[in-house]
Amino acid sequence: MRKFILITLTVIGLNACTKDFEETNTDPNKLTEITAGSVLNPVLYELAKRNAYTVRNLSAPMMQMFIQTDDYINAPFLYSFTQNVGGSMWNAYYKQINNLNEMEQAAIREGLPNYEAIALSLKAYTYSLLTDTFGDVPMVEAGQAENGVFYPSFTPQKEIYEQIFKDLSYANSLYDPESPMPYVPDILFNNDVLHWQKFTNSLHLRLLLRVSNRPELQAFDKLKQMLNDPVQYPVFESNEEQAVIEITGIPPLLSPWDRPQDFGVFRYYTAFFIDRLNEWDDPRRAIFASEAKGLNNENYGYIGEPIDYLNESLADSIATASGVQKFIS
Amino acid sequence: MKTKLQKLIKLPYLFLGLCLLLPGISTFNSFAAEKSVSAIDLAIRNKTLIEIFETIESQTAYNFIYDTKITQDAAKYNINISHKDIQSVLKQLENLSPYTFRLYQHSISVKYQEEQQLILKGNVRDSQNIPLPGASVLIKSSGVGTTTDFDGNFSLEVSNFPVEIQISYMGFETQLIKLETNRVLEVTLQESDNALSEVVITALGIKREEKKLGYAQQSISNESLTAARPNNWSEALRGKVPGLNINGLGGPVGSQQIVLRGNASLDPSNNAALIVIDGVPIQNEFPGSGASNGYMGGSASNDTPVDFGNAIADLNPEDIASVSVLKGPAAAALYGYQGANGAVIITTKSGKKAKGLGVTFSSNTKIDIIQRWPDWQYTYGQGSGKGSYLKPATDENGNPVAYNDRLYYSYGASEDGNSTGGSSSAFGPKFDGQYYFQYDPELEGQSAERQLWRPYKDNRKDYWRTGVTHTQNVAVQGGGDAGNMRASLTHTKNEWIMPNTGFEQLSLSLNASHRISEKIKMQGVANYRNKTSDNLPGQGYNNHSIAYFMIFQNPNVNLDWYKPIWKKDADQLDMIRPYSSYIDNPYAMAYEIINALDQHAFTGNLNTQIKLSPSLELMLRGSINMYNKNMRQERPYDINRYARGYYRKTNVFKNETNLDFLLTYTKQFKNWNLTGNLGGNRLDYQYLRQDSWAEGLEIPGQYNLVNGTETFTSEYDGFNKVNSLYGLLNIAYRGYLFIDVTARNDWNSMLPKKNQSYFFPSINSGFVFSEIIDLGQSVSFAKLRGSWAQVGGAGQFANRYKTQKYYGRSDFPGAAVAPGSLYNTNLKPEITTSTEFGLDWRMFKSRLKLDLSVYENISKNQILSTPLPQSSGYSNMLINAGKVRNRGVEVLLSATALKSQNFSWNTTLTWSKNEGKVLSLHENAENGQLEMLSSSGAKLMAVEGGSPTALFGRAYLRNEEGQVIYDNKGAPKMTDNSVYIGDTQPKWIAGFINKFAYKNFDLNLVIDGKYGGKIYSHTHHKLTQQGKLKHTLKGRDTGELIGKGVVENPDGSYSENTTPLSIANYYNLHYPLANTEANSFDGSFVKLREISLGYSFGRQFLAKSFLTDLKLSIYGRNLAVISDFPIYDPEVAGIAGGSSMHPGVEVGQMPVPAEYGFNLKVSF
Repeated sequence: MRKFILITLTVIGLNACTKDFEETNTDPNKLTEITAGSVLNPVLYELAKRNAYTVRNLSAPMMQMFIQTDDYINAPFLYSFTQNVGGSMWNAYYKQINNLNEMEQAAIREGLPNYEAIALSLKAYTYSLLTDTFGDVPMVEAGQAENGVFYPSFTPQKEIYEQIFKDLSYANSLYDPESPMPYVPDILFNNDVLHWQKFTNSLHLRLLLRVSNRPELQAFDKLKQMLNDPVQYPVFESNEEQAVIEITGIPPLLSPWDRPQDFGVFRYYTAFFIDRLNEWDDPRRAIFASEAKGLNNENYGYIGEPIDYLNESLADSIATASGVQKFIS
Repeated sequence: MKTKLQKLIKLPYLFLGLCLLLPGISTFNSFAAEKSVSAIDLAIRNKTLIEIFETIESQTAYNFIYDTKITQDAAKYNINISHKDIQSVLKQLENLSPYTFRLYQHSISVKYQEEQQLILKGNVRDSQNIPLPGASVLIKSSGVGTTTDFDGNFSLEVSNFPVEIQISYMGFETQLIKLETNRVLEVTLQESDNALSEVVITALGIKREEKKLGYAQQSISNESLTAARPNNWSEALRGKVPGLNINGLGGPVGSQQIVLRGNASLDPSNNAALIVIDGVPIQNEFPGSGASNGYMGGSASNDTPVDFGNAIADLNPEDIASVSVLKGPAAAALYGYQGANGAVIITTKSGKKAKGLGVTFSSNTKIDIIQRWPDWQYTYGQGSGKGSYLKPATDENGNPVAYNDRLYYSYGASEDGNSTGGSSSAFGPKFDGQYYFQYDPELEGQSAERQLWRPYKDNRKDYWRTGVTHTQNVAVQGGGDAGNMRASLTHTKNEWIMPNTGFEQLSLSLNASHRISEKIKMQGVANYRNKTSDNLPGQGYNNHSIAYFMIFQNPNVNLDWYKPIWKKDADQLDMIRPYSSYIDNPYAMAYEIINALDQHAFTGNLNTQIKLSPSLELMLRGSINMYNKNMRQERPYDINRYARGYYRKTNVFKNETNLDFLLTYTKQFKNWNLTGNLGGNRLDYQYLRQDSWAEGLEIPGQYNLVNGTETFTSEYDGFNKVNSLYGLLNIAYRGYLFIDVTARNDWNSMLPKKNQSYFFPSINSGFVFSEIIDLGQSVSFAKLRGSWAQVGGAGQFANRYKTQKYYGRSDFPGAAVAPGSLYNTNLKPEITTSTEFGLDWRMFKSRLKLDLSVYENISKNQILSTPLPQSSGYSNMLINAGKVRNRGVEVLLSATALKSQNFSWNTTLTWSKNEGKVLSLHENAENGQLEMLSSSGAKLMAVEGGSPTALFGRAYLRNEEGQVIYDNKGAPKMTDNSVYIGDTQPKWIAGFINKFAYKNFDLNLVIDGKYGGKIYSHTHHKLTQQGKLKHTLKGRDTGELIGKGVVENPDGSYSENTTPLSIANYYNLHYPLANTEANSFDGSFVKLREISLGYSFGRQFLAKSFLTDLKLSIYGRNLAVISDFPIYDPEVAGIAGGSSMHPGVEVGQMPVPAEYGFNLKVSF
């Protein structure tokens, strides 16, 4: 009998003890809710970082601007792409779209229209990068994993652009200089509402230009309408206003690669690129590129690396082609 | 007459009271008072009690009062008394007979000794006076019996005497004792020559006879752990337990994970066996340095992983009494959610009565010498050997120039040509007595004159030193009937083979038990360990890991040039790194790149056993496993990954509290013996990790957070709670059929509320059929085992906090970001179902023993992370998915091959085979594949129908005939996708253990090996690509090689590849990082694992001294390896990723030394 009492008591006791399990299983180090300003700076930095990566690793060599001939893992660029070449770009952009969705919801929840407008604008920007790279991509069903949509269907590119324009127009209408941006200053425009509005509209113009060859989108009409109404559609007016994230070197605003100077390591301009600049006597050569070096480190002027450098190497007297300047700003 | 009257009184014990109530009787007695005399004389031989009473009555005025039963008592007595008073006479009678006597005035009432005196009490011990718990005590006639308790005591109800008692205990000769009257039985059992079985420790620390088990269990004695003592004691399990596999990291601390019966989980860090120390489960987490991958630190870190040790590595083998390996879920079913991977039960030493003072001192010195090196080439020196670093193929006159004459060397540009000193490859010129401008350590640059072009053949080996480990242990023990105690103090100092690395450990251990009362016994175990290290080596492949340097070191570079570490007048600012900026200074890795550890660990428990009744016992226990780990990582200026230094401080506090109770009920029937256990456990787990780090240091060489250019902090805290309730019923029938049934319910905080509670049962049975079937004279014992068990859990504790959405940290102030991993409100417990059969067959008085097990474990609903397309918003999700089956056979064959007065030879052969198969994956698994781990060029991938430990990666593209396809430039093509390369797990594992004893000498020899299993070697890839292994000498004469294979013709047919590649390109294109096939090797090996030779001084020698025991021994470990694996060791892999140690993926291996040791053990 005593045993049964003990069992009963224990069972009751153990069940009672599970009461605090919910608290136990709550992460003490993380937030269960964010503000409209929480994700903005990480998103801005990550988007810029991804763009820089893409230029360095993909666009420049593919477009025969500069290539990597060798590096510490001895993996020169040989136009040998694996199937997942675009994978990291895809993942990075969709990850930020997810953050921007969170931002949009938080802004609506908190009644902060400027943050909502910024979220919509950056989302439009990110989707434009995605669809320009991949064509049709998921949009309508994207970011719905929480609702059980694990494999979102692909949205036709045309619909994506239509949605982008709709969002940008709506974003423009949301900006309100009277409404506060109460959270940490953003790293792009320092919580300057008008500057953000200009960004939205300038982006709008850029994307309209991009689809200007598709008459069904009536891009020119819209361009005209926007440019004729600077009060309704303020845009960037000078280089100083452009959207550039300054890598200060002060963490977390660090170079996307380990060291800023590594940007140009083992990277040389192609003959295709340098030849064009030479042809045009382009004044930017000196900023972009270093001179080719001889065996005794003597300068040979601007000479590009032959794109098939494994088989057609440079003249024996030339040790290295025009390298990518280690600092670009 | 009066006596007849008293015969009517039936209840003698009431009589005294009746006397008082009936004054008439006492008055009646008083008539005879005058006859009273003070002294009695008796000389009685062979008379009944009644006759004795009559004699006394005739001499005195006393009357005896008794009932009829006494008159029927035929027992005869002798009594010899002269001139004693009545008190003395009665006392003597009491001693002789089972009756008591009460004197009241002149009446003496006689009654049986009180009822409890019909309880037979006793104690059972072995010949060394050690109590035998669980011995069976049986009344032969009725079959009623009991078992002895933890002190060897028993008590048994006996209806009448004489009685025949049978005392038996497995492994001891059974004794039959005939008792005429009741007395306390002191039984000493003699060990049986025909020892069939032993007492072993099973789940929850319950001691059982091995005979009764229905599952596979194996015990390892302290002796086999310390005979050839390694740094980490678990290393000594290798080869000795079939089905046991160890994943280790190498290095001074040498963290290890023990895997039993293959990888059941698709989460590679969730396959380690549970570790239980003195009945307390220990979470064997592996708090590393933060770097998540052995290959370049992983995505989120510049650093290289550091092995700061795990819970197993800290344990002091001197304090381990025995290790019991419970291989399958059936054996470990009582551990519920933690038992799916089997369990390793460690029992620490407790005190016992010892000869002499009870002091044992042991001293161990071990030296480590690296004997196995990669086959480096020292024939050709530094140089990329291609492109513009090759002089023209024709001279000024247009004559062809031999390939080797086109190669040149120049450290820095010189009149010989452009600098070739930046290359990390060794495709440069041959060492042929020529002179080149080289690095000059005095000038810290190009030498003024050309220097002899020569190899420095020891420029890697000389970096390493002979490792030395000293261990001293003092243990004091003693004990008596009431309790015992053991205290032990151990100091270990290790200087590892890498300069300025190693550790020091101080261990204190106290084990005491005391019987507080007849019914209560208390036991306490306290174990404190302080482990410190000034520097532990970085693991894996990263610029500042030593494995990286050993790869990148060129044959023409003198190691000594690196020794000053810093350039002249640039201390802490400008490091000597004369060649590539990717190569860090190796002496900086030892003296400036510091990973320091200071750990205080405490493990202890307090345990009370209460005997509630003769058949009911209650155990209450509270235990703590706690450590505080402080880790510091210092990175100086001017190393590749940190230009301006870095400092990280990590503090981990972990506390794990277990509260248990266990109620044990034992009942013995005529043929049946029942033991029921009911237990409960409450686990509270707390893991608090705080990292603070400084990126950039304002003042070089000053390592603290104040000095940081920018400082960061992060927290990682985790809490888990689990409540459990379990029951175990053992049924034994007539000593040959044994059945165990267990049931367990867990409540786990990790799971969503609706799935928090889950129940798992198990059943197992042992059937000693040799007891009922006559198998002939030669068979001494034969048993069949069978078991079925289900256990479940929620995966590793780190799976917590996955049931709701959380926003995580960002480096930006005031920022938080959305999670990448989707929460899951429907997580369910994992389920592992295991079925096992076994045979235990012993012959020739157990001199030959065969133990055979076959098993099948199926794990389903595994909690694992599955990738999601990022477009869904998340990159992965924790789900219940996957079904993995492991099937295997384990054989243990042991024999006492020779046994004579002076010489004996015991030999044991272990063999095991496990085959894992992925039965299903999540329906959403992309391409039916699940990537479990990826590091360097290797992936561990689960594919339906494949092995759960499969190695995947890209391979040479081959045609139908298996020939490698080349492109028209002569380069081999590779598959686009990852393909199956091989299984990282061996096909089988075997061990061969021998013990020889000759007079006072003993010799142990362990050889073990594995057959099969692929290993991807990142080190091989890199060394080959850089032309640094001897196999890359092929083609150096002409500078060209043609790949063996075919090219595809336009019509789809194939013809032989004839296009040559320059050798640098040849090795580069044939062995790239991405070509997993080219860099994977057969992991088979045979190792001479242990040899030890000991000498024990004989009694005669010791008798002249104060010593009670003196033993000297020498030993060696890992003395020889036969393997095709081209790098240091086919077993040690390095950290492949995160917290998992996987033997199939080698990413920057460190040398694994052979070990030589000397042991001295003295007792007094």
